[in-house]
Amino acid sequence: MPDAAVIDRQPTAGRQAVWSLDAWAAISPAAAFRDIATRPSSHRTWLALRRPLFTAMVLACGVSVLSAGVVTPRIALSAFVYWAYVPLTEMLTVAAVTWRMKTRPPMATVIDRFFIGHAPSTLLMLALAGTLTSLPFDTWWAMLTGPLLWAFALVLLWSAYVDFCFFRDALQIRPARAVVALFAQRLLTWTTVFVVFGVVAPSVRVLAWELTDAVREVMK
Amino acid sequence: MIRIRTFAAGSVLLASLVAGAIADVPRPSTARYVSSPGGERSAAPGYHVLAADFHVHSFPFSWSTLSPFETVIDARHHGLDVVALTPHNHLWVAQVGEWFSRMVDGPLVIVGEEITHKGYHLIGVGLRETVSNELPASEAIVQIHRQGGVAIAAHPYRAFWPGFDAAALAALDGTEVIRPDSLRNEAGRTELQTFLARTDAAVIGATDYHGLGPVGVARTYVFARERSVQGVLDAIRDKRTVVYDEQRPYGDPTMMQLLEQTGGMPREVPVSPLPGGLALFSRAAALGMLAAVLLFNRMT
Repeated sequence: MPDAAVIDRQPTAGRQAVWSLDAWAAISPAAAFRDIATRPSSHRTWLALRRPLFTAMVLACGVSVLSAGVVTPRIALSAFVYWAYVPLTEMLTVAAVTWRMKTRPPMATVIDRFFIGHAPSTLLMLALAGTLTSLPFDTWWAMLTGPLLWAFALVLLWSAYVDFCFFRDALQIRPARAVVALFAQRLLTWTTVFVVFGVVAPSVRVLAWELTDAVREVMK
Repeated sequence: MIRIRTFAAGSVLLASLVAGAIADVPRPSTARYVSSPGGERSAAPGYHVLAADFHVHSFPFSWSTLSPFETVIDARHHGLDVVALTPHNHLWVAQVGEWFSRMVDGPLVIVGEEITHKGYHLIGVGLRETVSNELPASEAIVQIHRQGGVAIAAHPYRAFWPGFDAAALAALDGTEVIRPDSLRNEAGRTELQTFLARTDAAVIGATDYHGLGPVGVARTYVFARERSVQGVLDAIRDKRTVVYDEQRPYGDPTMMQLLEQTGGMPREVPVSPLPGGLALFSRAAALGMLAAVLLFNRMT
C-alpha cells in the first residue's frame, strides 16, 4: 500500500511501531480513535479511496478463493469491480450520516478513518476463505451455519463497538449521538447491501419476509 | 522502505494470481451422442447426453457471489453443457446470463426461477414470465407448465414436504435427489429419496449454487433428442435423466444401461477445493499477504 500524503510521515504516538492503525483500532478502538483524532487531516481524494479499494480487493480475492479454490483472474478481476459496491455503499452512508456534523474533518479523512475500523470484518473474510477452502465442500454449509455463524455474530458486535468508537472518539460527538449515527449508518448500509446481494424486494414487507426466510433456511 | 514493502506485497499478490491462473485447469465437457436402445438396428434417433445443473444462482438478488457473466464462464469451466439460472422470484439475471452465454458461445443457458414460498421451494425452468411465490405449489406448477416450462422440487427435505400436496406431487416434472449437502449426509439423502418415491418425477442432481465451491458438483446427465432448450425440457418431462452420487447412479434404468454400455460417466465428485502445490500457494499467498498488509501497513 503506498502512503497517501505527508500526514503519513507523522509520528505514530501512542501505538506500537510494528502494528498498523487498523490492527490497533481492532484491539483497542477507543484509544486508537482518540489518538487518530489528534492527527492532521487532508482533503486528498486518494485518502478516501485507498482503504475502500483494499476492502474491495479483499472481497474479490475472497470470492475467487471461495468459488475456484484459488485467486484466479477469471473471477477476481471482475469480482473486484462489482463487489466494490459494498465499500462504495459504506462510503456513501458514512458520508450521509456525517455530512451535517459541524466539527468533522474533511470528508476524505472521515471516510479513511471510518475504514480503519474494518480490520475485524476483513480478517473474518480472510479467515473464512482460508478455513473453508481447507475443508471438503460438503462440510461448508455445516461450518457456515455452526462455528462460523458464531464468529460472524461476534465480529458483527465488535465491529459495531469499533464504529461506535469511531463516531464518538474520532469525530468527537456525544455518545448518544454516536449511537444514533452508528444505527443510521448500519441501517442504510445493511439494507442496501442485503437488497442488492440477496433479494428483489418491491416493499419493506417482502424484504422482511425474504430476510426471515433466509435466516429460517440457515437455521434449519 | 515503504516503497519496498509495497512492491513486495504487490509481487506476492501477482504471484498468487499467476499461480491461481495456472492451477485453475478447466474440466472438459463429457457431452456425447449415444444410440437408442437397439443400437444400429433401431430406427429411433439417439440421444445427446448433456451434463446439466438446474439450480444455479447469480449475483445480484439471489444470495450468490458471482455475476451471471462469471457464472456462465464458470459453468463452461467445469464442463457443464447446460445450466439453468434460477434467481429467487425473478428472471432478469437469468436472462442476462442467457444473453451473455450466446455472445461467448457458452453452455446452453435456460432461463428459470426459484420460487421461494413459505411452504416449499420450486424451480421453474424454461420460463418467460415470473411465477408468483404466493401461489400454492400445485398452482405454481400449472403456471410453469402453461409457459412450456418444467417444475422441479428444490431441496425437498422433510421440512418442505407439507408444501407439496397430492396435486403438486403428481404434477412435478423433476425433484432434486443429489445435492452437495446430501452427498455425505445419510439422513438428508434418505429424505430426498423418500420424497422422490412419492412422485413420478425425473431424478435431478443440482448444486443449488450460490458461488461457494465449484458449480456442477452435483449434476444431471440429460438424454436430449436435440441439443436445445426444448430438447432438454422434453428429456426432463420424459424422465430421461441419470444422476450419480459417490455410490451409484439413479434414474431411468434404460438410460443408465445405455450410459454404462458406452463407458459410463465420471463418478468422481470433487469434494475438496483445488488440490496441489500451486493452488495452495495461490490461496495462502493471497490471503496471508492481504492479512499482513492489513495488520502491518504504515497508513496513518
